[in-house]
Amino acid sequence: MPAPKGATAELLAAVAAGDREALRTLYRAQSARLFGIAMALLRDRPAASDALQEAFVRVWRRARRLEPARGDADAWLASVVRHAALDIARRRGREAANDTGQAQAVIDPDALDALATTEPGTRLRDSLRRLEPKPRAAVVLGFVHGLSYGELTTRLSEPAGTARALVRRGLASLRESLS
Amino acid sequence: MSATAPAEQFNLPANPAARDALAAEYVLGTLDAETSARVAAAIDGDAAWRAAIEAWEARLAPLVALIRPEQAPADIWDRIEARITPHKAYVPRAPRTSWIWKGWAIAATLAVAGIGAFASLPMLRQALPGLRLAGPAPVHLMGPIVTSDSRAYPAWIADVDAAGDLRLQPFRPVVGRGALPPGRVLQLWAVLPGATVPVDLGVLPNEPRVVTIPQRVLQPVPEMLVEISVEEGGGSKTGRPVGPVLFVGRLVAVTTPN
Repeated sequence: MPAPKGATAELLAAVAAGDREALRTLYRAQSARLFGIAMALLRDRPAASDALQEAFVRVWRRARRLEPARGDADAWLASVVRHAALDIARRRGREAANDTGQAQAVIDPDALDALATTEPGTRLRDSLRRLEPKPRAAVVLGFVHGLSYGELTTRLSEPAGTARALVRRGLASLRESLS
Repeated sequence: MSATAPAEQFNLPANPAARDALAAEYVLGTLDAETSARVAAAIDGDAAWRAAIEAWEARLAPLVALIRPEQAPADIWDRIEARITPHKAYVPRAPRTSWIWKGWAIAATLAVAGIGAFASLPMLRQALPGLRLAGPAPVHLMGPIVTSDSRAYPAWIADVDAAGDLRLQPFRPVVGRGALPPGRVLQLWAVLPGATVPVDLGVLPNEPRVVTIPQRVLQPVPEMLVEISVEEGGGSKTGRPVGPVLFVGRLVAVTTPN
């Protein structure tokens, strides 16, 4: 469970001022949530560890760039981890993740009730429900698991080359309904 | 007065619809590495791109609530702290057992022992024939440059030579060098203590040899970080790494007994 919004924002402000203990406190509070995000993207503990490490180094260096009035501090942290994990995924070749031989849990793109704990989450859930199943799956699986167009094509049993169109259609619809 | 918009400098679309579509895919994660890197580089200098990306981050961020939290491995905080804290070398909890070459074992022992390592200077000389250290100065700035992942294999020794210039001497074999894909180069960066942006020290030569950075480019100081990233073609021109930082190190002040 992420810390209350105020607490994360305050910790980040302290980190921006060079407070290393605040970064450690932030790590302790958030590491499970953020490691889960990295694992959902990379499905590999060493790679996810590297992503979490790299993310916190970036948080340390960039914290002063986050303006507290703008944006949600928990969401910002999650995005730093996501982009660090995506960098690693692209570096090693995304398809490599599927060779682990282990069954990795992939979320169900239609099971979205867990989003409804916040107002933005509820609006997103409602907008996603209005999409057709394949564009919805493309957007949700792309975001949560970082699937490439090739992987999405396979997973959605679509003809080659159509995954990108599905993603774009899904994103365009979301933009309209979430504006 | 017209200035080139930062996004144009990175060859990104200026029209709002195309920008929005690309920003959405950047946040989603479906862009290829090269395009994604250009978008990331544009964010700092271009308010319109920054706004487009922040809007998509806000729209999609609630999706992380679908992801189950998972306990992180115990040593990650130590590794983070070692990268951001002076006077701290990362000491791994588990002993390393797989070594390609005896020289790696010697160098890695020095890397984790930190400042106390230089009782082993003769061992270091044995591992690196031809290693030159500045002398007879009693205080010396140096540090191993190691891979930035959990293995922390040493790849170079960074130090400051008799002329006061930063010097990198490679171990043989240099980790990752054989695996460097075609069209990629290694680029050297320094992060001065307290700085948030790095100093671009340029692209490293392809063959492993000693590299010297003159003082007029960079004055090495204690606790200065050294980073080496993998970049495309002629290297990153954005003033910071675009590709991944694969090697890291720190200059610490050590005494060199004879």
